[in-house]
Amino acid sequence: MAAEPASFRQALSPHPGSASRPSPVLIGRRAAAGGCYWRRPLPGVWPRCGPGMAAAMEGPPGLGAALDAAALELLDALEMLQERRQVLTQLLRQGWLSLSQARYSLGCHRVSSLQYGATMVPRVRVLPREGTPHFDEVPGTARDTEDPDPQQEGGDGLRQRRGPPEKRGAPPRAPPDPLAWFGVLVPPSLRQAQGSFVQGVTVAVELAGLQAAVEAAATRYRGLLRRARHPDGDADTTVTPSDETSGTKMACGNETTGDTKTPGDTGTYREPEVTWRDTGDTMTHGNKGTGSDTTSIGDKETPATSPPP
Amino acid sequence: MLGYSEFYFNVDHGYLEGLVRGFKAGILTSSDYVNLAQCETLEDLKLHLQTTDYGNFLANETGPLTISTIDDKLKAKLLTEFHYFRNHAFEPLATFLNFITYSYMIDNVILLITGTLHQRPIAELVPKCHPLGRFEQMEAVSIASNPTELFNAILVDTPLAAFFQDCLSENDLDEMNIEIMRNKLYKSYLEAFYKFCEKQGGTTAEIMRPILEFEADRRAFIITINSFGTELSKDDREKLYPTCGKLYPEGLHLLATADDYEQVKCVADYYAEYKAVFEGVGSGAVEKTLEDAFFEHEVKLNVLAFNNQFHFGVFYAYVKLKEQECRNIVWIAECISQRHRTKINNYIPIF
Repeated sequence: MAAEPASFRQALSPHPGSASRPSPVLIGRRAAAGGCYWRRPLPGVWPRCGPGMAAAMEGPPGLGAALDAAALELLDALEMLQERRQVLTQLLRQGWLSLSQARYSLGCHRVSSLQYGATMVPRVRVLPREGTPHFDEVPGTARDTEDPDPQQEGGDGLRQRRGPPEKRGAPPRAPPDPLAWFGVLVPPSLRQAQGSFVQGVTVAVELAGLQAAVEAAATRYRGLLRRARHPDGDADTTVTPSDETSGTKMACGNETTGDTKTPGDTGTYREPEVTWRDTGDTMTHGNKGTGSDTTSIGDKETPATSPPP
Repeated sequence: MLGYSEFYFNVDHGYLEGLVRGFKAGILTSSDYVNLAQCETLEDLKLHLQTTDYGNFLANETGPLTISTIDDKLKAKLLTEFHYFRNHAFEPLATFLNFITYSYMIDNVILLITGTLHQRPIAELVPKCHPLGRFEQMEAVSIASNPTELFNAILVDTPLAAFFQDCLSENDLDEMNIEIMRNKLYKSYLEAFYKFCEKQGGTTAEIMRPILEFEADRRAFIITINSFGTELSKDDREKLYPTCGKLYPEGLHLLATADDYEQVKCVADYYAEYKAVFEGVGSGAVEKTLEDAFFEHEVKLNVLAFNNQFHFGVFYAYVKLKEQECRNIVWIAECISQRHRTKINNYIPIF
């Protein structure tokens, strides 16, 4: 991995010693352990020149402190995001390895796509909370089916488990344990796999909230920076750095998060290097409309500038 | 004449014993496994396997290589060898080889029933069945809804009919009943196989009896441990234990009352070889699970079978060793494709 989280604060400080640190372009390698890497620096966050910038910003003194606070908040959030992503990677890798161990003892075709039905009922649903970008895990009921009405809840359930369709009026009961798909007497490695994936769901929900928080902090910082540079309120498009957020990429195993939770066929398994395509579809279910404009996670091909929000 | 099998064994079975020993020489050695474990991709693995007895078994695969393709092709190779043995076998070797296939047939029946329960089309299920356990009425298994119907309509004409006596019931096939049916079928099968080997007498009985006793005891341990935390009652559990092992009868009673892993370990401590197996679990640098330790013990017994001549045990041992080899290769392939190399050396080397 290229940079440790501790370097964030050091890079930001105006001490001359920090200049020896590598530039804010934190381009990391794709680690064999499936770490994440940043495709682009966070423009607008890193002051290009330390002391000189302070001179250029002639706003009220409180604004400078607010800027610092906003920057630190952003970096803290980023650090936490990074750490949680590591945890998620570990959990998923552990889960997949336990699944392979189960296949070793039971045989490849006893732990495969033959064991789950075409209809599934989620055991856990994700609901966005009003106002703040927060997501809650809510236990699913057996009455939920494959296609929930998006207007009802504003969040898609993570498709996971199945259960028989319930009659209206019956009290909601918990959907059956998907471990039962593989038989009653399952080896302990399969239980371990289930445990890892269940924990991964919680971490993934947390990550979605953290990602939203990071974006909010970045927007706040950019707003403050703009105000600091142009206290009279002109919009100056030439100086404003491009507003792309970092191209942090992270994916887990398969294309959609939903799939990582279900035991996949050995044939469709993909390598779990952590590339997460966030286009508002996978993790941040509620943000389909407004979120995707500012959170266009950069590919190499995205244009260098995008209009400021 | 009991005990003088060397005088007349070769008349009927000499050619096949020679053949199986030749095949046994092609089983991968530990240096082959070391080479395989150093591969970076599945294509490398395929390349390394080409230098072994497997040859170009993956040569005709178009598209990207997947683990299930590798697994299927490995099994297909074993199938051709086994069919050759079976087609050239006289009695009683023919019955013996049939007994070997029955365990795979049981697995296939259960796979088909479970798949049907989960609404999978039969065309998707049949290719996933174990090739050694194929029988003609396989596709029809999906139409049965309870065990009696399954037996009367389909399985009565198959060799599995003899093992079904205990499982007949009118209950619907749900997950618990399927699991119970699987284990009861396997118990009847193992006991029948044990009786057959005993009847053969001579070196065959001498070699096969410890192997089958270990298999029975291993199943008892695994059923007990896997049933902790499930709804399987203790009485039901006791009915699933095969009785042809060393644990019968006292050990099985004790296992039936066990509530956690420690109690199971205490039961195993009464029997010297199982005590050694349980002690190998979890200790040492590499974390070994109980199932790994059981597989290792099984490999040891099967390798010993080749030290004796003029008996049928070599055929059983060969099939089981090839199966273990298949598991090893698939495990290494999974570790390579998941890029999780810490546990890649958890395979069990055979020779």
